[in-house]
Amino acid sequence: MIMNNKSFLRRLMRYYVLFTIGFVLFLFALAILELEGFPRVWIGYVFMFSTIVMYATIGVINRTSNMLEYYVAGRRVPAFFNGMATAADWISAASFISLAGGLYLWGFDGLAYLMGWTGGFVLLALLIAPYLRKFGQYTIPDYLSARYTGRYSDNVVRLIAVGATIIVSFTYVVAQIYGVGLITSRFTGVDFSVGIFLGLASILVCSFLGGMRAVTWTQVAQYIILIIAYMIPVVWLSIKHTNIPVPPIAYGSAIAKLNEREKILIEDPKEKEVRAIFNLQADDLDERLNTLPESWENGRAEIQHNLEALKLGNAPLLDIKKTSRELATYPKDAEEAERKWKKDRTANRERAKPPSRHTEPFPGEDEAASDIKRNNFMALVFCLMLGTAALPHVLVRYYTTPSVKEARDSVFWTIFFIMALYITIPALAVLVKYDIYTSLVGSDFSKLPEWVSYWANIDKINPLVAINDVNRDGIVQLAEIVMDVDMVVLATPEIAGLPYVISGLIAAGGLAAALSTADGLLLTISNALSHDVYFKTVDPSATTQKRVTVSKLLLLMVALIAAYIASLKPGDILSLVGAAFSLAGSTLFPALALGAIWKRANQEGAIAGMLIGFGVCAFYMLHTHPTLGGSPAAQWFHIAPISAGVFGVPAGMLAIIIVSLLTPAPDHRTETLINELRTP
Amino acid sequence: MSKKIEQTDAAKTYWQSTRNMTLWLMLIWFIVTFAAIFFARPLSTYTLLGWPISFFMAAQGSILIYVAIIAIYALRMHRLDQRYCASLRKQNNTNNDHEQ
Repeated sequence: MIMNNKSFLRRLMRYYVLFTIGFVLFLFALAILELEGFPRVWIGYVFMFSTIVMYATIGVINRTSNMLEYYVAGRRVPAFFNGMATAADWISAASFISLAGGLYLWGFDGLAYLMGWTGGFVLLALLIAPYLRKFGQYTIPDYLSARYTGRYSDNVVRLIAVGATIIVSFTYVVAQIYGVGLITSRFTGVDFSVGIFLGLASILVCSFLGGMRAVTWTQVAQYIILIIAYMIPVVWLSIKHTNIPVPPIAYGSAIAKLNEREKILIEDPKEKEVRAIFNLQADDLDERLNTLPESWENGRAEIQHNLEALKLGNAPLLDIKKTSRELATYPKDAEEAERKWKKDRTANRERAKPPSRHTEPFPGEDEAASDIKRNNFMALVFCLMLGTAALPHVLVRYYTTPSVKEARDSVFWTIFFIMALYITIPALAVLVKYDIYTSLVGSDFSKLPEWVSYWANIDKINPLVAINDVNRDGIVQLAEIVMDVDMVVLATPEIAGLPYVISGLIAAGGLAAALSTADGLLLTISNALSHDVYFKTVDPSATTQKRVTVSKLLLLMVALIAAYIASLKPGDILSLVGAAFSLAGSTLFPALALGAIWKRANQEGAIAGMLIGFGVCAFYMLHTHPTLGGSPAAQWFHIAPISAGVFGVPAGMLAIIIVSLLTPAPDHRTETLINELRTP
Repeated sequence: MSKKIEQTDAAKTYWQSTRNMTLWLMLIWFIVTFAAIFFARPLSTYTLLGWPISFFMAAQGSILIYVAIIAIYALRMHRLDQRYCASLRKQNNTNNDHEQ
């Protein structure tokens, strides 16, 4: 058996080394094609289609209808590869595309995401993963309902856990599919919804045919692609600025240089001039807001008047077009004007502020504002950590290892592979910032780099990057640049001076990150529905064959619903993705963590804990999240709604403890189970 | 109902050592995470090879420590597993001796 495992591991190693070499050769071939004058768009196409076809092929090779293979990949994934697959499962479109931009824009405050998303694995390794593997069933609700048996039917705990799993995973999967659409449409120019269904096709072939088995081996391939895609441009940039090819070590010297540059830009008179203009614009909006609704009518009349004058005076067509567009986008009524102008006023006031220093923790106007930022940082780290440890699609991956020891080892490999990406992200943010602060700022408007105009024109309504000569001096000032969070990663290859192939590679990497996470999530949702709802609750006599078939059909349905919702571009759902961590932490973490650690926790306690944890968390979000109809004024201790778990987790924890102590201890069967979990 | 479930000595020691180690590592995790954030402002005045210490801790120091915690856990647990198996074997042998 051991011999068998070893030869299996060797064979896998050989396959993936060959795969990596093949992929690098493919890159070289494309680079040569680009030199020969292959058009940009086609490079994008080749990347998209070849990677999508490849994932689908892995799915076809690994097709299965065996239940053990379909649900848990036959429980023979070696620790090393399970770690790699879990890392790809975990690294989402947001980690890959947006996180570096987040760190660029928010400086120190953005690091909460890095700490939270890695520290959670400590909890997962110590409190949950080994016991879950020892228990050795199929889903998270399986574990919870077996651990918390008692007076009520096991299905009560099971269905609550299923509900939590679905709510958390579904918001998350919509965001991933949205990311897939965004990446494909940006790089190939196809329509957003077409992009979604293209990406989805490969996910479906993969998970529909081969379940967890196919998803596992695809995720390993996806990790290899995404890490190569991220590292090439960062290493290049790091050599360019520091001569050291290891970004996490190299950017220490860039930080010192950036600091100097920031000091100059904060005091620069031209920068101050631009900031003053934004303040004036905000004052003007203030005035207009105070004189509503007359100001709205006057404003419209003025534009109409201008338009008439232009038309009469035979002005150039461009000016007429510009003015009529202005009229078309003018607020429809005074109420809309109020909303829009208030938003613009806040935006202008933001831009009028001097840039905050990148490494300064919790910048604020005074001690109190800074304290609020610090508390929010801590709260966010707390919620992200506990949410990470309780995300069902990550946890189920630890069912797939051959033994408990391999499960423990595979948590190590998971965080190792995540670390490889995550300690590079802050380096990328600093290097790009330094590059933009030194070479773009102060340059001439007529000589803007090519990437600025290219990316500015991709999305006309919400441009990824916009640079306007606000003070009309022909020189770029820092305050004149607006960048989207996604811009940093997307433009890195061009900023580093690399060929377009590398940009295509970045797109393939982002796609790999989004698809791998979406794969894992869809499988988790459909398995929760088919295994926990259909088999365990509705029809316990179903044959294994039928269970796998039902699971596949449900997968298809869930995927289509998620894709449909994503194609509507729901801003509301996307803003709630961060909140999914708080919900997962509040609902599932206390029951999962106390399960093996505290024998006295019983069924009543678990039910109360999950419901109260969820309730408190949801209540806080409803009251404070603007898209859910709440208002920031209702916040407790100024904690942002994304960190609702700070209240939800302790509430759930306390509820389990108090209710468990007030009700009878768990029975013998449970105690035997716990003793079993606690031995190797 | 109050009948205690029998547990071998080996299993008890195994669980006690597991629990103690879990507690210690959790304590390190907690201090590293929340002390680094809470004292970020005073720490930011000191630098280490170009990095302000608080920035270094949040950007990579803490992550490296998390990786170390998980590695220590995996290695030590493996050793505990082996010790547990060895003591089970010894117990079986002594039982067999008694029977002879």
